[in-house]
Amino acid sequence: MQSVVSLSALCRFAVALSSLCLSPAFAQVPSGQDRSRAPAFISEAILSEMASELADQAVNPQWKREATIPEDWGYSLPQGVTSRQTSFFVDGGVRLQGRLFLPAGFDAADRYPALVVGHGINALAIGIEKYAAAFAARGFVAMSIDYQSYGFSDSGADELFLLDPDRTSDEDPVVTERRRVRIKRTNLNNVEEVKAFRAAVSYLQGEPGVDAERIGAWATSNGGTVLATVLATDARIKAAVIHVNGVMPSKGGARDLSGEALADAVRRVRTGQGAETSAGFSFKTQVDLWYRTRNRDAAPGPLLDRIPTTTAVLFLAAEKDELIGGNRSALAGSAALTARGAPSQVVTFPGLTHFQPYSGAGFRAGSTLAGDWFVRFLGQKEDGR
Amino acid sequence: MIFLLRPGLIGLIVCSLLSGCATGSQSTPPTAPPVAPAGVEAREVSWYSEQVRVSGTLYRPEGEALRPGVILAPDRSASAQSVAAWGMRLAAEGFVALAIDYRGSGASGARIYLGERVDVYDAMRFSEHDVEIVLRRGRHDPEAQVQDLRNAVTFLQSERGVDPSRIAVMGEGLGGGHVVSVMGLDARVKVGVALDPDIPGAGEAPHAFAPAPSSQAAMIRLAREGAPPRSRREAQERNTLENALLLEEYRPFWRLPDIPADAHLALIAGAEVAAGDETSDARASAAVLGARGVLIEAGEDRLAQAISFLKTHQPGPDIGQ
Repeated sequence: MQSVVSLSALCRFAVALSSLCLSPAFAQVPSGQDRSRAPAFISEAILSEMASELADQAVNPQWKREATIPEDWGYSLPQGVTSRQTSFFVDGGVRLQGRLFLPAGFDAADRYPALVVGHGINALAIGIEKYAAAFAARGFVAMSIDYQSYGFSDSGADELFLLDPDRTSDEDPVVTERRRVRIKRTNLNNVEEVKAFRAAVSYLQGEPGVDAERIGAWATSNGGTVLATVLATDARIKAAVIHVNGVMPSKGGARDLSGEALADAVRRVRTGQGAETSAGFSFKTQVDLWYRTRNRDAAPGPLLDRIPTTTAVLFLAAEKDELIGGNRSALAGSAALTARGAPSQVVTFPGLTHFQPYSGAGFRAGSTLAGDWFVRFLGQKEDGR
Repeated sequence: MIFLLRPGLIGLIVCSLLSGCATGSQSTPPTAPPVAPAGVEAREVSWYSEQVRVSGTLYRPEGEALRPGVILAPDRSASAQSVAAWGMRLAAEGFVALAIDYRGSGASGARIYLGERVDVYDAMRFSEHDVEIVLRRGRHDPEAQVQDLRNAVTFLQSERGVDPSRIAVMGEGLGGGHVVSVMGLDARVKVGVALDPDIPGAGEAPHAFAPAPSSQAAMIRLAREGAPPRSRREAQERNTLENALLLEEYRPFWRLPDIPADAHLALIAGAEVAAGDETSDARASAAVLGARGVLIEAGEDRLAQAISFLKTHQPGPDIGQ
């Protein structure tokens, strides 16, 4: 029974990540051998150095993961790194929450590169704060964020249902009053997540001590799908790491809406709320079934050509990724970017499955490689004096 | 059941499906309901678009035959009333037409924001609160307007007497740009009409947005200090600023290639287009569309031209026979 539930969850996740296996472009994916001729921008030597630990993680039952677990989330602040909660705003005034990490000896008179750090599908920033802390230890200002309607972030206009009459008219551009509302949480929606990343970039650009021209982003799993769309939408991000995900290039085109999805759409326009389904792995909740339809509007596959050729994208893939078929979509996405002349690279965790790189040797190797990528393409602190 | 809805019933149905719903939660009707010609019924209807209660006017010919539908898209800051004349004429010609007010304008509801912190937990998927909220109007988000149109398509598909496989979208100005967006995103809409359209994005290869310094400064300010506005003056300034930023990024022209091969889009534009105005969005769009599009020089009666095109591509029981 458990395995049946798990399998259906995996299918839902695969849908969320994008139409990977069904893509016609899939047949044109270059093999790993072809890809290996692309230039390496950072060294993968750490994988050899940690080969025995990574091999143990791949087979030792203690490290088996079908989700991340609380032991995987914990971290100690690196020596000298400081941290504080922040609020930032999106979409006309929705308050989102981040946790900002500053490097040891941070001085706002200097100019630091800065990173947005984003979580995966239906998850929370607390599971990936340790990456932001690790990047701060490498000299970056880093901010992990909760997406709208998740964690410490507020619900936004799409999640606030007015139960009292709306008596506003165009005479008044704003009315503030006490009203009864139904607040929805965990509204899985990649379109809103794209906005969250972009607002976080804006926030960091205005942070004292941050060099607004040297912004990067790290995102994991479904967050990587979102980040790829962000890169195709917003040229301000100069370097990115997509963790345990890839982007299968695909053709664009209008999507049909029929059958059960249309019936759900009708229910949504008639009542304001459609059907629900469960989602998530490390943090499971109910979500709107509609996310499967809505997320197609933010699919990055057709948008890869819009990513600036100056944006550097590293894919950190898991060889045995059971949710998205190993590193195939990472190789395909990276090959498409490389073909356009953009700096891109794939580094594959040998033997690991989707949820293993968040802990143990996988985390140490992965956070180091990501840090190397950001140092390579964003540089380090510049003296402001 | 759902196909027999009348506007007065919608609130009751909503309340029967959702607990805690107050009765009488209809939106304020527009000040001057349009007067329909004989044989055409015009009535106010409302539905939801991403949780906002939005409104429109439904124009329907007499009789019970299954008819094609047309969504009428006002210009960016215009109301459903601005396209009322189209609705009445289309209904007289045998179409069911739905003129919409975008969220945050006209008879539609405001976009709402929390005015204070509320203790909620992700495990509490839904919870009800009496809370201070900020209701914003006049923030014209083009992509949200496109969603409003797509949700209007869904609403009209589920109305009685409408053939759900034959819904067209028709708009003017940026509403014409929205027609392109809807058809490029949503394969349900195979027929469209864009009247003197604004279709930003022509002449540029699709690319990631690199904000100008002034725009970037505004984006930074909104991200860091952009709590919902409270005073009238602050709200007006915010609307002006945010509307400019939102328009700067809106590129419906880039969606033209996504329109399906079996779709038909009429671009009806003024005489300068016929004279070969190469800067015209309509002309540039027609060039991208090829066999999917037709560029029509606007005559004395643009609406007659639009209706003729619609009748060719979605004939109904009383149409073209």
